[in-house]
Amino acid sequence: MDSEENKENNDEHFVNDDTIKPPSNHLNGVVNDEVSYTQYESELQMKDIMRLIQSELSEPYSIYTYRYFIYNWPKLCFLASFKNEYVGAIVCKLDMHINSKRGYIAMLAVKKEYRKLKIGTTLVQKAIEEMLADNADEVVLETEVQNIPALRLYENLGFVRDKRLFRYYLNGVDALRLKLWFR
Amino acid sequence: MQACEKADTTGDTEPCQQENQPDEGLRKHAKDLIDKLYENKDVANNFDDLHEEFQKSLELNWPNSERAVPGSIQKQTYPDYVWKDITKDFFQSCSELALGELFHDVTFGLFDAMSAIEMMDPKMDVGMGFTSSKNAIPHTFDTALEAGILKLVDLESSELIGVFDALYSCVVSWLEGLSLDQILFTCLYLHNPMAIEDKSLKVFCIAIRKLVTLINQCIAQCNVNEEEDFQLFVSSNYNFFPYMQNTKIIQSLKEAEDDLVKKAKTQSSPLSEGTLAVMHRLRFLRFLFHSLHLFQTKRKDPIGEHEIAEIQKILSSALEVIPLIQKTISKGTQPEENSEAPNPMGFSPRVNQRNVPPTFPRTTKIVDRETSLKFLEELVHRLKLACKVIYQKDFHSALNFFLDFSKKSGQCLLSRSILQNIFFGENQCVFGSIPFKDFLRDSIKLFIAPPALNSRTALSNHPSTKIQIDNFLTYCMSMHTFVYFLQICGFNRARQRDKFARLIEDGFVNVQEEAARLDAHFNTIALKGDSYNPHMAYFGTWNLYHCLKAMSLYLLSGFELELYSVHEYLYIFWYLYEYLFGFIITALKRAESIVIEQEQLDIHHKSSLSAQSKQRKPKIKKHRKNGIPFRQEIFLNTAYQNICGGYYKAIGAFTKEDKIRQPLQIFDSEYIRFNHRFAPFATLTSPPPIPYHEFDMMRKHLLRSNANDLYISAATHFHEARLNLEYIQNPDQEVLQMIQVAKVNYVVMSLLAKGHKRESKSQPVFDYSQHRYFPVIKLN
Repeated sequence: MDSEENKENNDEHFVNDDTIKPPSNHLNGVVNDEVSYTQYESELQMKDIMRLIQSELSEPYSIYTYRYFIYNWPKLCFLASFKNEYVGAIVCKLDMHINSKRGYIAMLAVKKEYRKLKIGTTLVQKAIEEMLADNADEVVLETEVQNIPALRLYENLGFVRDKRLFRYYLNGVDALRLKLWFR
Repeated sequence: MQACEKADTTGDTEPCQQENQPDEGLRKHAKDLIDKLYENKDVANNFDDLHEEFQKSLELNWPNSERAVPGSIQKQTYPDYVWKDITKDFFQSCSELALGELFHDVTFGLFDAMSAIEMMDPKMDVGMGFTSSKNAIPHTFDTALEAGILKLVDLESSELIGVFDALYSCVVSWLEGLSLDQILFTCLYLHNPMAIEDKSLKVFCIAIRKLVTLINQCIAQCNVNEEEDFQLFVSSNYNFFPYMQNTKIIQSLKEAEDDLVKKAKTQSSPLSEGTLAVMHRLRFLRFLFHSLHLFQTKRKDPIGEHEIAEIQKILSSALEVIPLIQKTISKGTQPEENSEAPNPMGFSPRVNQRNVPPTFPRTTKIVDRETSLKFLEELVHRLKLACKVIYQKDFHSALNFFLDFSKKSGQCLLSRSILQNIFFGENQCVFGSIPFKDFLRDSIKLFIAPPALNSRTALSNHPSTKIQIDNFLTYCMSMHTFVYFLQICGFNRARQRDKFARLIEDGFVNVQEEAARLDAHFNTIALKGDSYNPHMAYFGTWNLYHCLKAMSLYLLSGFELELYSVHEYLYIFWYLYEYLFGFIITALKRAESIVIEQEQLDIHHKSSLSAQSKQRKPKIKKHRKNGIPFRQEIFLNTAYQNICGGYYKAIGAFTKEDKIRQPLQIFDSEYIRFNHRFAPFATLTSPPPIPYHEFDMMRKHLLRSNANDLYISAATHFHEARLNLEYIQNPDQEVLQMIQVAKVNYVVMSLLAKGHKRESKSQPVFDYSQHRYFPVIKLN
């Protein structure tokens, strides 16, 4: 594991299983079509992104972690909003890793009340499409072994579990590194 | 808000963007001085001169700073900062920044900033992680003594038991990966054991200090640890304890025990039991310490059955003491509720707070006393098992032993290291005496009996033979392939997978080329000779077998580590069933028939010799200890093959009936996935990698059968697997578990074949609780 990967042990993926059942476009009064997706625009959104992601995370992030990703790769940060409220966010990066151009999904969160609407899947999809447009060779991320909803979401998109990282998280839990290869 | 003067100066002036900036010049000068220091070997003598020079340069480069006192060439007295309120300036400067603009040194970017912690945030700041007595300054050895809360003499038995058991818990927590500073060295007694007056406590603490060194040495030497396993380095310097020799410690522990036994004899019932309980804790430590000491010292000399027997005896004695300790845990003082300390007396949880690296706080939960004793008991069992490696006299059996040991002791770094320690010795000689090259030569001879290694054959007497074989073995050694194979087994299970991949890609690929070249060479010689027996691929087969083994371990580990999605099972089981296990069985059978043939030739040769010399007929060699060579292993691999065949057919049927969830098509490509999953095999020539289109073709063929037939075929495979397994003599736990899995899966497949739950479209559950590789199939 290189030092860079070590530093990135603060990924989180808060989503819920929206793959077992056929997608609903209607849940608790939220209509799927009314959820809109935008790319990151300015520091003004930072607070909301942080609030969204921090609300349930187990790993700590400093504001610098967010800035590292978002300032360097603003095009790979997407926000989902419903009626003037941010309800989901994804934060990624894309750079060279050994010989391949590697996309990395650092954080993904969807607000509890807005889950099971495929918002998480859509955010991931949008980020990956952006990475593909920039010639990514692969996309990776880490998630806790027990995070079944996240595993379902990513595996449904074709990710496979490439590695198990023993005692990866600060709380001593193992992580899985998921990977999606494009070539 | 305050800042020290230096920070203020460098911060406000955007240092790296201005020329002739004082600290730029200063930095360069400091660098030059450091370079000078490194160039100069006699560092100690020159340090003062250099320091003086640096002081002068401070004046030159920073004439107006308070940092340098003009005219002074005295050494600086620290701390050398002057506090100044910058709150107003700071906020004013901030207001000049545009939205999203960041101010930073050019060498310190956002990436570096990620490692920064936010002070006072309990999730990031180690210092915030304490719930109680937040503001109290932690006790040190001296302050605790002054406060009268640290007894050095006249400790009750209950107090001693409490401290000892807490220390055992700390040692175990450390062995399980926690920080030495944050766990074990929070025990104040360990900070100054020489000051303790109570004899038992003193010698126990000294022994623990030395035990840490001993364990550290052992683990560092074997090099099978990873950062997530164990914290080898400590920031505090308690790691080093020069005062007593190991043998003296063993002796002192024994003396302390004897004193306690004498004391107990003079006491009446409840008191004497307490005294004996203290004694048992000392005794266990002595046995553990003594065994580790012997493992460590024997490393330097050849180790044989005699030395191992001595260690085993000590370990057995240690095991006898464990239940006596377990029974008396309640006799000791117990940790207070809601306290971070593992015992009321002797521990100061925050004492090393300043030695902890400034990273996010990791979990520091100390295991409880019952768990720690259970761990120690199992540790001793594992060490006893490791001793048995001494009976593995060739590579083949040693490898099987290592693989088995890894399954049983996968998460215990100390026992994994000890095994490596016994086997490899100090100079990479097997058991400290047999050069690995010789070990490999004998192993090849035993595995497949190549004529080139049989002194009776013409080939072995050919002038080039010895050199060629020697070159081949030297090549194997230089590639580290076979040594590395055994070493990989010492790593934790999660790390092994990647290492197996590398072993195949970098090791076996090259060795197999050399082996093929060697076989071809001997074949040429054999064909030129009188007997036209072609030389078979002896060396190639030997290498191939080990390569196949590594390949199968690589694929199987993916099940254990939960790396495969269910929709991937089809190609993984297909590869194992159709190719790898089949190839392994073929290689073993080939080796077996050659060895048997060779033995018969030897017997024939000996009897014809004795007939010539009219001596008594030599006794015909009885069957080998384990019957026909490799028989058990062939049964086992046939069972593996059948069991994988069972899953392959079952998943084929599930796929046909749409019971397996497939990923969305947008980004997924099965072709690319397949190639990555089998990537380590891509560069091999033998066995040749199987391309995706072959799998695709086989799958089409498989899915042409109707589901019923596939279920029946799967059931047959599971049934066959059970029969294969039942042939194995003295089956171990794993074989028994596999029999159970095969039985259940046979029933499930038979039920499906009869139409049970066939209409359900939900994905079956694959339950790995019985066996790490082979799941029980459960229907939803």
